[in-house]
Amino acid sequence: MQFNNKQPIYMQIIEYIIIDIINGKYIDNNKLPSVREIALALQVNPNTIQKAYTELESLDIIYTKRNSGSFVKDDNNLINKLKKELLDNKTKEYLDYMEKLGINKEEIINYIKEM
Amino acid sequence: MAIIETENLCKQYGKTQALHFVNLKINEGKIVGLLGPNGSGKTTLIKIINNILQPTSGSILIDGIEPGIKSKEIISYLPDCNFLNEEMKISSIINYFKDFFKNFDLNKCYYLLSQMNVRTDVKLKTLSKGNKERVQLALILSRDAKIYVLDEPIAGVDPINRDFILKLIIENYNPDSTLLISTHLIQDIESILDEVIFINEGSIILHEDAEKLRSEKNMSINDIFKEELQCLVNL
Amino acid sequence: MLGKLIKYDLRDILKNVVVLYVIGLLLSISIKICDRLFFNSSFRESFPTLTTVFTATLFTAFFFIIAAINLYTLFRCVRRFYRNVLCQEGYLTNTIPIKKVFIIISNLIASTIVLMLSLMVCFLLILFLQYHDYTVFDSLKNIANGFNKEIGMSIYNFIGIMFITSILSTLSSMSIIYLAFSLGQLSNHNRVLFSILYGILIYIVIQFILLLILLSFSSHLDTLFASWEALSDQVASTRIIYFMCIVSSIINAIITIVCTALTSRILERKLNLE
Repeated sequence: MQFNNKQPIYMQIIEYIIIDIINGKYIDNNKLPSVREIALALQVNPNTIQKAYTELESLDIIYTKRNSGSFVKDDNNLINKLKKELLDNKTKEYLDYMEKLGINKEEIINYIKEM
Repeated sequence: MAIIETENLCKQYGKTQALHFVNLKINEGKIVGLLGPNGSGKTTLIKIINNILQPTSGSILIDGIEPGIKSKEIISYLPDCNFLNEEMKISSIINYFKDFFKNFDLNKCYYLLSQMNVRTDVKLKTLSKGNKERVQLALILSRDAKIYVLDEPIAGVDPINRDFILKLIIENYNPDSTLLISTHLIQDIESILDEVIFINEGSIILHEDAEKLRSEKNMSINDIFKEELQCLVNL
Repeated sequence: MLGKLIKYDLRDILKNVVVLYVIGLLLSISIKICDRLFFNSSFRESFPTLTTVFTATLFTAFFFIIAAINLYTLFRCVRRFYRNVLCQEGYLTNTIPIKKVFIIISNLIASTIVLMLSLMVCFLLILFLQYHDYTVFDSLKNIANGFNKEIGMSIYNFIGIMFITSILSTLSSMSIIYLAFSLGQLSNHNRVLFSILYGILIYIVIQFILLLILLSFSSHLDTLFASWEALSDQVASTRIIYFMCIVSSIINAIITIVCTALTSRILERKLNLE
């Protein structure tokens, strides 16, 4: 997990966890690493990780059991839902950026086909 | 609840104004970075917090009381130098801490030192520079204090040791205590900070939540700091 | 708390001083062995120059060690205070939750203990050198009796009162040194140099004050000494000794208290660690 200091770290943590969920990391074992574990591994303030977890909980993606830890929600549609959300956001970002460069959708589609 | 509170704190050395009307409120349970270039007044402020320097004017309260014996009991201070008697055995130094600090956890200290592979039956002077710094940090973190003040804990430290020190700080963090870390190496430490205080030429420029700053400016704390300083220079 | 402080101060001061004690003892023993070997032996007759030179060297070394023990002890006492309170170690010493005055008092007590100890070790080493057989105790008894006759005071009382006077004198000297160094650290440069200058200044000031006191009491002292003239030599001597010792002790006690109070004030309010 790499992160940069230019954007709020907790948002980057959220994105990485979502990516991991989409890639099926939590299908067999839905327990997330503890706040402390991630904080130590990334050398990040534990409060920042906690903020990410709290946000994920409010987005209804994970739940926390006191003294047990945090777990990914057991929802069959979760992966697809998250995948679509991420796809929507990233594509919109990409299209906005291309628009700034004056590149239209057709040019983009041809370019992708050739890649 | 502000655990460190200063009001119009000033410190004058002859003609130099080291601290200029510093007004700060540091709340409990945060990891706060006191960031500024060398000579900006960081160490002066820290010395005043630790009651080894008196302000010229203004006031400072530590947990609601003036700096003194009671405040020394709740502050664990890591200075920016070698503050231990190198002729002493490490076990003697540990006993010294046990004798004079009520909240010193002997077992925790031995545990930390064993993790660092540091023998305690040898004199401090036999250790490498890196290990000496680790020992100092271990002693300070083994106290169950309300406030930990670390003055430049990673300056002049090799990258391996730096990672070790940062991990140690995170591991020992507990939400009941406050950590005040002063440094000029913003890049290396900004990811572990809750809040940042920018200080330059004795004045506080900014005191803000780190993540809030990042989302507002889309820049790293390091870059924001450089920008703030540049603004001041251009004024 | 004070006891613990004294423990650490003592340890630090005694550390290398004990080595000198041992060297002194070894030299003392060597001199005695050489004496046994060379005295009344044919070796001495065969090599007179060699034995003389050798014995002379050992004796010189011995007296050098005696001087060294006392000087080095003083050095370590001063160094302990300066390093532990006013240099980098001061970042720890001045942040332990204890009143500064206790730090000063513990240094005073530890210094006095070791300085008196060094003096006694030297005295014992010299005595050991003199010891040929049990007759040395007889000669000591003779000295004691002679003292009693001449001065009219038991030698034990004399040693006792001298002991107390020495302790107070040591305390006052160390407290002046500590005050001088505390004043010296107020400046940012040439701290040691300023400390020495302050020390000299304080000493001059004290002497001046004592002189003033002496002058103002001169008429009273004249009357006192005149009254003693009439007494027998023995009683007069005893009185003079007691008088000198008590006056010196009181003066030293006052100096110690004043200097300690001033030093404590400086450490509490004007500490200037680099």
